[in-house]
Amino acid sequence: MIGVIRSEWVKLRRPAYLWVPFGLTIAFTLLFTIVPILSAVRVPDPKSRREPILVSDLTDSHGAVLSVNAVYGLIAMIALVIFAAAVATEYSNGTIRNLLIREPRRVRLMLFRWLGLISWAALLVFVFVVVGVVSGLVTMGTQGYSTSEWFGSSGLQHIGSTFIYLWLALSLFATFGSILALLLKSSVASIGIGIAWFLIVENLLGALVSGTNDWLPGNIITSVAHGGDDAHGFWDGLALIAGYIAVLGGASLALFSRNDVSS
Amino acid sequence: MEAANANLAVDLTGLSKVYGTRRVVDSLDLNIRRGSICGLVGPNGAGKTTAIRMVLGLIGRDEGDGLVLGHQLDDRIGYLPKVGALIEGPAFTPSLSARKNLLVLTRLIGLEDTRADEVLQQVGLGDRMTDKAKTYSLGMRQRLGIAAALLTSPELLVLDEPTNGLDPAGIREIRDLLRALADSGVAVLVSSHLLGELQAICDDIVVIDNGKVGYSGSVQGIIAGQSSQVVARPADPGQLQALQSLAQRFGTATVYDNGTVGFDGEQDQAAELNKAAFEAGILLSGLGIVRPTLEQAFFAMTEGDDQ
Repeated sequence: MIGVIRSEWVKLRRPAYLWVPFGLTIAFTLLFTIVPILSAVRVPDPKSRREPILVSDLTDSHGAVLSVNAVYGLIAMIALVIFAAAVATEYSNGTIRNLLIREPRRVRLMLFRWLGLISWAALLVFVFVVVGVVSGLVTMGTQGYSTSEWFGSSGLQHIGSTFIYLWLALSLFATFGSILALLLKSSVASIGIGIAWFLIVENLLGALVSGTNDWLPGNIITSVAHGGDDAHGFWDGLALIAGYIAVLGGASLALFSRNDVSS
Repeated sequence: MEAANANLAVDLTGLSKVYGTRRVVDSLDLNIRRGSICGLVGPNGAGKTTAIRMVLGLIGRDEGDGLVLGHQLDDRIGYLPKVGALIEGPAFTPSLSARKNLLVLTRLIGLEDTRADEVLQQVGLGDRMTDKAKTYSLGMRQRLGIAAALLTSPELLVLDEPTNGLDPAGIREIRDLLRALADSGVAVLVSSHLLGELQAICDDIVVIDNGKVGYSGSVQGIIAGQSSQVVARPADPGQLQALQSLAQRFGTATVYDNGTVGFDGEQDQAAELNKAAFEAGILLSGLGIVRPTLEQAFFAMTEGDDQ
């Protein structure tokens, strides 16, 4: 079924799925990398109300990925948009018929298409991390800050684990987008609902209903993105979100495998 | 069972689809011989596309059974790789070139990329294969849809309105292509509203009306059930009524808006009418036999049933 993934990549190489999201990712990453380094201070100003970015943090072993971690939420929403659009436009273009006539095993088709999208997310995160580290390296150099800790064993471990965590997190956010698209068969509706849920509804629920933060999928994925946090350990969070996806994804695939496909 | 029907690419019995209380397809029997072109006709909403969708596995069926290319209807994995289809119009990703649209499919089913180039040449799009699908005319998109259907060198080709949007030369090309494919052993199922076109290319015809089969058999068979018409035109339009009265002796004569009189008959009746008109002092400026058409047979069968 590698053919399904190769087929998916023909579509994913379109400008709307490659240059636009990758361009936005690079732009956001540069912005969120360069500006903090330029505004970093060696000693916090006690009069300042803002939480300062300290040079000591930047030169630390995890400094290479500080900016990447800061901007990942935006990149995750870009991935959600792409996953949702990739699934829903097959309905709006009518091309879902072409796929199903050639590959009647619907669940298998959709799972391998999802793997194709996951590989796209890996490339996005790779570019994201590389741009973050390289632009950070250059900017740190212009400011005369040391980056020797970045490439020590601990620093490289941070970079590697950040890549894995962010890839997982982006893929998890985006998978919710593709599940919505499979259920709603509409790009606009699935993207709108997906983004509204993660950016607005979860924040409102978290603020208004105590205890929900630990159970809301967006918060759990954020825990995963950081390799675990106070709310959830990495593996606990991953297991919990995998449960959400198994239930929602399983239900949507069950419907997809049985439903009539007609224009 | 398979051996007994080896000559049939499609051998379905009692196919039904129910939406709510409405039987959209009602106990449809469908037989398509290998190496033949079968036309599927019916008024809008008759159930043609629903029947095709069921054969292609896009929608489930409520009743019915049978074989497609020797495989049970439920065994879609067995027969769909040998089926090519263009249904409900050509569907493509507009921002991809024609070639890349086909590469999506060749890679999905594990064909060589060169197969896309071959079928694009076959349908006359070789020079425009790198153009984006969104720049294609309706006729070109139609050709692209047919190219996609041909990718797998199918044993059964299902085409829904294949000549829609094509110019006369394009229609002839597709007609020749379908005939060549049928001659090579491919079973072709064509759904169309262009009855003249179906009459020209089809060996067999299935008429569906209100979800049920109204006729299933050869094109000659359905036409044979209709009569030829003798049609005469008086040189003086003022003699139209007199000509009608004269023609009544051969059968029920009808005056048409185009200034002619017609009745069911053959050459003998035409000759007799000519003689009688001459004797009655009616000069005819036109006299001929109109052979029955598929369209005539279709309307005779479905008249009054169209919603």
